[in-house]
Amino acid sequence: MAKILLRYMGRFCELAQKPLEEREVTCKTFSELIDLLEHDYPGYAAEFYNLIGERHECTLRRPEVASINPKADEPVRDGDCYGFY
Amino acid sequence: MYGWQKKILRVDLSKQTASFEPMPDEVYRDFLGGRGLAIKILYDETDKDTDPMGPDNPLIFALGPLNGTPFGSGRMTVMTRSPRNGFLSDGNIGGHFAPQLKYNGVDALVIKGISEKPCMLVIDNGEVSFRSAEHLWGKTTRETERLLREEFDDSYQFRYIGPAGEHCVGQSVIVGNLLHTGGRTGGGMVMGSKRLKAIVCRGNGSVKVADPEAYLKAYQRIVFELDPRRCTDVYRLPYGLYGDVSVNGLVNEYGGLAIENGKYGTVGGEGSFTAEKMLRITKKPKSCYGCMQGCCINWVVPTEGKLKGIGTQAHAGSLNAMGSNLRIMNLNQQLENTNMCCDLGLDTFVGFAIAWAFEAFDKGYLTTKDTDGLVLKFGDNDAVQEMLKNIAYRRNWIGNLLADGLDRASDIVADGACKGFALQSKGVEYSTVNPRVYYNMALHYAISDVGLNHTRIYPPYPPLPEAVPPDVKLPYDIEKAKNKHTVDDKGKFVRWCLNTRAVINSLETCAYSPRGRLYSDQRPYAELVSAVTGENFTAERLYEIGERICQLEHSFNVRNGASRKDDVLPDRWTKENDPTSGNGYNMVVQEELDRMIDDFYDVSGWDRNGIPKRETLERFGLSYVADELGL
Repeated sequence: MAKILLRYMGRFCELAQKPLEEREVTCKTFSELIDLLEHDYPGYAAEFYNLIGERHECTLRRPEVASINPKADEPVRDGDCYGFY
Repeated sequence: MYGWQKKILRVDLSKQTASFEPMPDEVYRDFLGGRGLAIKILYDETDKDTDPMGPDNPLIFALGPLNGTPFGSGRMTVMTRSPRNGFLSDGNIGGHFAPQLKYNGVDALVIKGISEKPCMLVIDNGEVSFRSAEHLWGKTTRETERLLREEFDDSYQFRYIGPAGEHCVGQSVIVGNLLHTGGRTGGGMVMGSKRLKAIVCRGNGSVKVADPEAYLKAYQRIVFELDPRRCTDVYRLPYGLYGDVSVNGLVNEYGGLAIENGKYGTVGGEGSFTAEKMLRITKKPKSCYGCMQGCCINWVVPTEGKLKGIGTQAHAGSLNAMGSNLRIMNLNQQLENTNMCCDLGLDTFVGFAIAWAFEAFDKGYLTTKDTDGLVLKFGDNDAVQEMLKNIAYRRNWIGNLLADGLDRASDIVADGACKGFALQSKGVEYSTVNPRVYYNMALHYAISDVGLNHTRIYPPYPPLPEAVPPDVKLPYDIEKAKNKHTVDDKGKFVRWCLNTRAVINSLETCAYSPRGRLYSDQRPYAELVSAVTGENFTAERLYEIGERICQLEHSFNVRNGASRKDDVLPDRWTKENDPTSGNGYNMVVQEELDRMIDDFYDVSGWDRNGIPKRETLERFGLSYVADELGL
């Protein structure tokens, strides 16, 4: 289980109907996290992976790194903070 | 005559005279219009001895070939020699004034002289008159707009200054349509020094388009590129929906906000996601004339506080500078502060002067003896608003000192002990976009000819690779330039950014227009300006014009004493670690900054002291400038 923070900006805020939430998740990778968010907020994955695949952005902050854009196989770790824009 | 009017309007406020003068064709061919036209006039009509606050310093409002056509062209350049540093003052103001000025048959308004008493300039269908503005003097910008609207009907547009401009405050701006501002680098100050409270304008003329069919085709191509359904720019849709404040949340994630006088780059809690709160109070975009995106400023109506039910503007950098930068995390209070800036005719980035004073107070360098008893404390909104009034009206010692600019204030207080955390360069305060996060921005801020002004290269990163058409060759490596934290290719990227932005500013269209593929491909703009003017422009020719403009602007500064010694960043960014944001070192490493500056000078054709080489200026047809600089 990893305890993570999710921030929803722009249209993701409308999809999730909230600006942020703290969750405990079992998913192991970033792509599994997107699957989870798609399950909870239908349309989320389609919004994130649009035709070009680059129109939206996710930032990942960890104590040891300022911010990165996670790839699909990025491991999800305890304390991660994801921001979707 | 197509696109351009090929005339300028000269006004002498001392003599209360005005005249229309022709402008030679070659000026338009070499400098395009707008910002390019303005620097050509400013360079030619001033010298190193021109007093920025004197009658001979021109205040120039310049228009481009696209102004007055349906394409989003409500922008105009305001340029002068800055009293803040003696260098270039260049700003860009939106709204609805520019087309009206162009419909008077002019491409620029050049104002010299100093009026004996407060006055307003009325330009009405080619007729120019001068009226007393004594009844407006002392009024806020909102009151001024209302009184002018009572005096003139709805067909007129206005530009005016507030109390800050009247008091020649360094951070004063020129305002129009209540919330469109420009001239933070000295334009508002010069307008105040000329005792020109307002410019009133109406025009019934037109702009002739050389090839309307080609114009529509080029216009539709740009509309196609900007369609949110296909635009590759990550910001296109959120900006359109919520305004540019939508970016604050993302910038916070990157650690790019300014928190507590830029000490930190990230904040938790309410201050970090203003866009989501903004959704609930956003009413509509406040777009410029002919805007096809509506993404910059939104009109919002706060739910509580002094502005409840009234409304004001919302703008990303302003809310940061007047909000979380001062530890003001309540959105309604942030909006109150930015609105107060507009009312007083103050630049919202004056927040960095106030934040500096707060930090100096916190560290004991300022005391209540210096502030007339006012306790300066981060998070105290009453103190923030009191300081805004102190500065705008030069009310007391600290207000007067900060009104002269953060550079001077930080020299004086504690004999310069607070200089390191004064976020300014070349006398102009920081305008957000954290250089500790974006090395492109660190370089730009260091070498900028107009001080800390992010708008000349924003966004501070290259386009997405898939947003670059295959037949467009960029003069830098995208992968290297997009890395926020390394020095590679930053010089090339910043040079390219400055040149292409000079083109956009000289066409006088919006800086937010080059999105998606338009960011890297200026061919649609070349087609558009060719159709409007009947001249044959290519993207390559536009790029060359852009660099010519930049070279002349830099030469203007060099003539006024600028060199590498001025290309510096404050210690806060080069010596202090920010644990919440930034690159691998969490700060700008001075040795790396020096290397980027060297690279930038090399790619610009300047020597290592930042002085253009003769052959560089000759390449752009600026031999006369090389002669004058003694090269």
